[in-house]
Amino acid sequence: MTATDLLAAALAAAGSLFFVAGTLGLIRFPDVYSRLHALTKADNVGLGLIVLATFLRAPGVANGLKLGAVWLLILFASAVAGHLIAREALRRGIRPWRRP
Amino acid sequence: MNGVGFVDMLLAAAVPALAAAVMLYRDLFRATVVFIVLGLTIALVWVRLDAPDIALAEAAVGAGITGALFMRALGAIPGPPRGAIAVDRVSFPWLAVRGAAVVLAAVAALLLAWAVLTVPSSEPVVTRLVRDAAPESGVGNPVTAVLLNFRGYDTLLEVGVLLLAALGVSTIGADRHAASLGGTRVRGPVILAFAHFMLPGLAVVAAYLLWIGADQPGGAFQGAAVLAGAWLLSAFAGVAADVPARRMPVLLAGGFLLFLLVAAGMIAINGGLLRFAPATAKWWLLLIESGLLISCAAILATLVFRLTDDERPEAGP
Repeated sequence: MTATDLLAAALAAAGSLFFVAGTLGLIRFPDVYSRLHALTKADNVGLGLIVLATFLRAPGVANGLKLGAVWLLILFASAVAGHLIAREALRRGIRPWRRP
Repeated sequence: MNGVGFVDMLLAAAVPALAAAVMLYRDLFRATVVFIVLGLTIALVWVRLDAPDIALAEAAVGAGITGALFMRALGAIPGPPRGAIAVDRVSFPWLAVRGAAVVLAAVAALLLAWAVLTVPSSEPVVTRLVRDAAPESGVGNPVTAVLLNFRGYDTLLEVGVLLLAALGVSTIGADRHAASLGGTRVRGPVILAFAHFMLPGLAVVAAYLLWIGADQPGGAFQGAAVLAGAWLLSAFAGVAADVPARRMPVLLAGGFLLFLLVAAGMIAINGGLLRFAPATAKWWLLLIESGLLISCAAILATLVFRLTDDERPEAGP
């Protein structure tokens, strides 16, 4: 196992941690807005770290760059999807949660 | 592929669990979401089985387009508000029907398990035949070679079936005058900008999948699913003018007719239906696939657009 492999493993582990945190938020947070907040942010960072990990182990720079492009596309898509869901929730009159 | 690992066991456990969840959820919205997750999980299973072509098709069509179809159908089903669905009464005929379905499914599962377990471990004859004949097909990807050259006849008829389905939906479905999404449009600056940003890239990805399908996983059908997704995105965002209704039949049937024309032309040129000369096969296949890309995208988009009539007024401002 080389130093690159170790670094990749550490990055993947850190990325998984962000995914776990995002999922925990999805399950535990009180309303749709805070759940979106947890998902769209934590998961994007988690995916970024995992993409970095796979980038280190990718055969060739071109393949690694494709992975980077995947990450960018998902950043855009999840930001837009999060916005659309939150907007629709607001339109339906769902009030943002406040500490009771 | 080397050995069965932890991830494989996780996938093998997740697929039946997700499938059961799809069947058991009373809330149809949840069932639909889980169905999409199930499709993506099955795509991962195909990846692990070294079948990336099927994985792509499953992710794009099984999870993506079918999920969109279900979501759209769901939006049109009138009924009690979400979460307040009454438990249906299990009366006698339904119990009998369900019992029969369970028995049939169990028999089918046992037969499948038996078939899988009795597969000889040696390489199947067909694999060797395809590999030996691959250089004559004009393409390097054996899946594309089988799909369009060796068994092109099957694919031709399948595209015919797809076309018939789209024509059926167009005839009896709602909104017969435009390929628009009507009241379901999600207007707004963010999705509009997103669509403007994404659409050129999606068109390139669709064309890339078609082109790369000759030598690597990909092909017209996967590309068509991406193109159909782009079509849905542009319609949801309200990007461009709709395709005029009188042009739609051309888009829908063009791919099938081109396929048929090439198939018949090969009788004149090479003396057999869909018999290609190895030297020129690649270009004929590419021509057929280009037609299929556009037509299948139009067919998939039509199925989603015209499935339901939901001209409901948009809520909110």
